[in-house]
Amino acid sequence: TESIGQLLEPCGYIYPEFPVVQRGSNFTAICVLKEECLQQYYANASFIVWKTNHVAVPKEQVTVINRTTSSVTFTDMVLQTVQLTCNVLSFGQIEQNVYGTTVLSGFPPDIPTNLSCIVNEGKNMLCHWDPGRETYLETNYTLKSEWPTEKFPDCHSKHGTSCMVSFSPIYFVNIEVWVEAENALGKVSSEAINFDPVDKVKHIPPYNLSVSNSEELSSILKLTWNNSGSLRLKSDIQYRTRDASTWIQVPLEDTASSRTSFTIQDLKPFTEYVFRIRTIKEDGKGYWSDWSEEASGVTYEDR
Amino acid sequence: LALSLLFLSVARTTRRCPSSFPQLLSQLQSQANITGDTGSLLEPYIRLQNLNTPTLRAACAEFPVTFPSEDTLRALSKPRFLSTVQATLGRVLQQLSALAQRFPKTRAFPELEKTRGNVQGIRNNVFCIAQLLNHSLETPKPTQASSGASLSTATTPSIFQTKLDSCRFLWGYHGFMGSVGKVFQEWRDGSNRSRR
Amino acid sequence: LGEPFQLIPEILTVSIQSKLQQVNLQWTVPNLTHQELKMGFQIEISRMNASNIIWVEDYSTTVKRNQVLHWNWKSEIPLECVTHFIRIRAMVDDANYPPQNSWSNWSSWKEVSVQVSVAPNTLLIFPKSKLLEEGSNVTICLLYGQYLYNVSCMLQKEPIHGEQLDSHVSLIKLNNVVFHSHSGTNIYCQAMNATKTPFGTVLFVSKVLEEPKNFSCETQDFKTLKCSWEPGVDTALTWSQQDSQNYTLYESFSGRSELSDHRNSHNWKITEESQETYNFTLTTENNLRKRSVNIIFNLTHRVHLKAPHDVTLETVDAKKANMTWKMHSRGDNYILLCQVELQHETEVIHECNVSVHMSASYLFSDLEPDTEYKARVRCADANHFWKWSDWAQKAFSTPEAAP
Repeated sequence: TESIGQLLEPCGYIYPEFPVVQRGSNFTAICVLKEECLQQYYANASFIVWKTNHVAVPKEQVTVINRTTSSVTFTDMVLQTVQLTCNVLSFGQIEQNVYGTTVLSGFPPDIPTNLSCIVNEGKNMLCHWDPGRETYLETNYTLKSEWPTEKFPDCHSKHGTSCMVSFSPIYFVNIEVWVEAENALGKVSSEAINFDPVDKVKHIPPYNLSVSNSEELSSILKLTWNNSGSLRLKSDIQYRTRDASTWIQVPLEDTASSRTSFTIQDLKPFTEYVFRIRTIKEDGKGYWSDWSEEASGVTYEDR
Repeated sequence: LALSLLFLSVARTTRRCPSSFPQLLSQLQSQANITGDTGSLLEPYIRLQNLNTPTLRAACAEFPVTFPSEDTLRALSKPRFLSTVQATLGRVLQQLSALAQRFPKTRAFPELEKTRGNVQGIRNNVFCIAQLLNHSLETPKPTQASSGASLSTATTPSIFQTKLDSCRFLWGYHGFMGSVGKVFQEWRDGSNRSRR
Repeated sequence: LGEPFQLIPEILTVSIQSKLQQVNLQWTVPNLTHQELKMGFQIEISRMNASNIIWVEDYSTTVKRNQVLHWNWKSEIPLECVTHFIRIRAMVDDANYPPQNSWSNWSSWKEVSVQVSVAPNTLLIFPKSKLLEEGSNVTICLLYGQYLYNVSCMLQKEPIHGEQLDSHVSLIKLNNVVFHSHSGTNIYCQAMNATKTPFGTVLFVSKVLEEPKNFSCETQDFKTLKCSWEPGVDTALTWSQQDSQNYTLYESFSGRSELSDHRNSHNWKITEESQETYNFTLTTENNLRKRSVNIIFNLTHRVHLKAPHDVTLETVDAKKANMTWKMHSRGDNYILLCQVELQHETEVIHECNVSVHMSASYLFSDLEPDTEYKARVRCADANHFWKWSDWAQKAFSTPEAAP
């Protein structure tokens, strides 16, 4: 250090100051001493001792470039962080620290892949992607979304694999979505996907499911329920007897059109049945809702 | 969920419009169905503003703010029709924004926010369909049948008058969207016939 | 000697603020013999005609020569609907002036009216809109245009009736108004022969602003004071009539005042290390009312410590275990009170309080071998107890007993 009274100015600097290096590549840093410090230390660049994590670097990796400058070279950097310090042997023997920095090593971000989005009904759109290999570096993932005529706010991902946007989905308008990944070693963009949010909806499960039997026909039970939202939805209905463990599937083609009631036939008389329903957009696009709450009913006694 | 739609700026038109005319027509028709339904905005507004009495409902429907009528729209060429819809909905957005200003944050009106998003979406699709048809969306002169969607602001009206005028505006807006939906339906029928 | 010289006040201007339904009077006392005199004034207001006096008020003040004096009066009836008249007289009430036993002559009557023209077949309702507090009274007035008859009015879905003031004015008095909705209460009228219907106004009835409850402040780190309170009902109304009430904290010793970040809390930065006593006034305000609450406290009496950290459990043998923990505290000379609990299958089997410093330990004995336990600890300032910190806990098991 140069003097006491003033701010303590270092006697030299390491360049680059905040090195970020691609893992497995070579890396060279230089330490440049200030002229005024050479007399103070009775030393010059040849008296510089490089250290990584407080361990001296072998002399073969060090090159004295001139009176004030020494360089050190590392091949195949693998450690994620290294404390690199430039020290000088003042008066040829007293080791003094001149400057220190942290060398980070990692990878540039991979191009994010498998980008997909889901609109959980009543919530905002959530998009997922595969970020690729670990970068070992602080990497920002930003989900971008646009219409041809509008630009929506960026969505900054917390953990780099998904992001819930801050705006509500607008149905029947194609939106273009892509992911940008950036760290100190590079910036990449994923392929954009272009879709209508209405085709990515996972609806709230059907509700108010109720079961009623028929005095005339002991082999049938009638289901009625409410669908959420205003879109046309097709249904998936399953049922079982109270003590059975496996569900019987109503053929999907029987419930392919939008409905809020259905009659199950060919049931055993005077038997309790349990039912559950889930829904999806009528054209099959989007995601099945979760199953509704189960409801049960008993078929009428046989006459 | 209250809509928190932040439109930052009109993006450069780098993003691709759908290239399918039938898809865009279907989307526009679905949008017109939603926005034509008075349950999406007018009815919630009437309830919220306590206009749900026979007298006030009648007053709301009595002098609806003038929008281009269905006949006027149907008589327009495709380019003029698209430009008229785009311009009218531009004014609708302004009125909806002005109306939204009258609601403090803690008294949000979610249906109004949702409608603004849907209208923005319709204008996006109109832009895309015009691009697909190589029509330019110029700002049309107000059609002779309407002065466009605007509220009378000759003298500062009382809040009671503004409540009613906004109600009449929404009544007109839903009607207009119903007409737009019908014209698009005719485009679809026309394009289905020509494909046979 | 005869009657002392009469000082008759002279009205300069009479103006109206319609929105406030307020009359503003300005006058002067010409020929004032003294540099200044203590005088009494009497102001009369009459309605519709000069003989119908509805208000008399006395007003005393010291009058300087050529001084313009001000006075105002709020009418419960909208000023657009009725003409008023105003006059004033005076009496000197000053030791330096010969005693007077009668008022001066009255000034001349001045008319107070708003130029409103009502087109035929129409009806005007005043006020055009009104912000008022729940429980207050309001008078609505109707001005009829020519050829209008059979006027009927509604308050939302309920018919309401007015009293005829004269052939073209009627008043509807509403007492103890009730909050109906934050979009206002619609009052509207219809009439036979009316050009367009309905005519209406909107009453924006605000909930009464409540005094903040349970206002208190505490610190965890002597860097920030976390103040919190229960705000009560949000009095926001739509149509730009009233925003949500705001909350302001004022500390008298430092003189600092800050608008709160949230409706029910505010983080106050401790800037003066040496300040021990705090005198906070929390004020909430909307367009109609202002309320304040006050607390005075010593900072060291409001310490809500962070939960203990670095909790360790070391089993000494099959029947003993030693728990140690650390506390974020201001220094080792601070004595803390800590509550230690031992649970076995959710049942508290041992509990006690210990006084400690920044780092502490406690020995559990008489434990069962080969048994699972959960130990937890929380602390508070021993000198001035305010609140326990959150619990910090650790599960452990005693080893099997040696054979």
